[in-house]
Amino acid sequence: MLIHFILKDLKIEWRSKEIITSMFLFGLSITLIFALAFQVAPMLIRTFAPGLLWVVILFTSVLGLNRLFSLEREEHAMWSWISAPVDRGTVYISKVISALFFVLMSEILFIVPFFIFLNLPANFSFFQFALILFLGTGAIVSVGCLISGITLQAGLRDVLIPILLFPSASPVAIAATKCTESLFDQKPMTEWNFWFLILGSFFVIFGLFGYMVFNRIVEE
Amino acid sequence: MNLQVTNLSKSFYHSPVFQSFSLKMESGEKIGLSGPNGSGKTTLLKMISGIMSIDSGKIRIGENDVNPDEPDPRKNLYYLGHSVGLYPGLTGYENLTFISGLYGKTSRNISNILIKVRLDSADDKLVKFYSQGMLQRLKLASAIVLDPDILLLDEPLTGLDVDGIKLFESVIVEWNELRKTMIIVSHDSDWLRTNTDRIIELK
Repeated sequence: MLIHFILKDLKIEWRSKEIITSMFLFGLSITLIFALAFQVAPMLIRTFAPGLLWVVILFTSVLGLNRLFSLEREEHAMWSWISAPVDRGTVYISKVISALFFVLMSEILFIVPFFIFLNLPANFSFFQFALILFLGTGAIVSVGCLISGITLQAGLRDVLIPILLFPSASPVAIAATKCTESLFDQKPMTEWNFWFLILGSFFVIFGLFGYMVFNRIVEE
Repeated sequence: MNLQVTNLSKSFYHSPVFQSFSLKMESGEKIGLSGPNGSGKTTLLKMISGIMSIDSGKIRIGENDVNPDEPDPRKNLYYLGHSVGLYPGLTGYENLTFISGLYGKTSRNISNILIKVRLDSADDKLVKFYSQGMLQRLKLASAIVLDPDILLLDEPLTGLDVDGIKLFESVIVEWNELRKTMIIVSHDSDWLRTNTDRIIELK
C-alpha cells in the first residue's frame, strides 16, 4: 500500500514537474539573493553559509510540502483514501517519503549553484554532508507532513504551514546548521555527533508520532 | 450487508445537525435521502463512510463498528460523493487502478468497465480535462470496479446527460439484483420515489 501511494505521487510529479521545478527555482533565487547581498564581505559568507543553506532548505521545503498536499485537496482527491480501508498512517509515511525524495532532488539541483555563487570551498566529506542533508531534510519533512495533514482542510493552510512549521522545525534547523558548520570547519564527528543525534531523533520521533496520529487528524 | 446507525449526534460550532439519529438498513435495501440544503444529507453519508468524525453514537456495518482506527469495516462500503474524489493529474484508467488498489481489488476488468460507462476513448486522458458528465461516469465506474456491499451515492445524477442517467439506472438495477445496500441522496423526489424502496426526509 505504501508503494501504491508513493508511486501515485511520483507519477503525478513526473507528469507535471511542478514540485521539484518550483523548489529548485525558488532555492536558486534565494541563493542568488544571498550571493549578491554578501558580496561586500566575502569572509562573512563562510561563517554564515551553513545557516543560509538550511534557511534555503527550510523555505523550499515549505513550498514543496504545500504543493504535495495540494494534490490531495484538488477535487477532494483525498476522499478516495479517507473512506477506503487503508491505514491512514501509511498515507503519512508515504507523504514523508515522497516529500523527502522531492526536497532531496531539488537540493541536489541547487546545492551546486549555492557553493559556486557563494564561492565556498568544498573540502569536506561528501558522505557526511549527504548524511546531514538526508537526516535534516527528513526531520523537516516529518514535522512538515504532520502540520500539512493538520491543516489539510483549513482555509488558510498556505499561511498556516510556514507559521506552524518554522517554530516547530527550528530545533532541526539549529542542529543541522551546527552539524554543517562543524563539517565545513573539518572538525571530527565526535565533536558534533550530539547535534547529529538530535537530527536523527527528530526524524524518528516525529515520523512515529505522525504515523500514530494521522488517523485522527485527516478527518473532515 | 446490514447497516445500522444508532443515536448518532453531530454538531458544527455548537449547532446540532443530528441529535440521536438512528437508521437501520437490511441487506439489499435501497433508501432515498431527501431534504432541503443544509439538512445534513451529505454529512450523514460522510459520517457513515468515515470521512467525517461523529460526536457520539455508533455506526455498524455488518458485524463491525466504523472507527477511524479500524480500516476493515470500510472495505465493504463506497462513498460516491458529489465532489470528485479523483486525482486530476492522473488519467481515468490510473485513477481506477489507484482506487481499486486501495480496496485490494485487481485492476483486470477496468478496461471493460470503462467500455461499459463509455469512457474507453478517454481512458488515457488526464481527469482534469474531463467534463462534469465524464467525471460522474468515472465515479460510477469506480463504484462498479470496487463492487462493495454498501453504496452511498450523493447526488449521483448531477451532470449526467440522458444516456448517462439511463446507464446509471441500469447499474442500479444490477446492484439491486445483487442485493447491494444503497443510500441515494437526490433532490429529485420523483426519481427517488420510483427508484428506491423508501425515502427518509431530513429536516
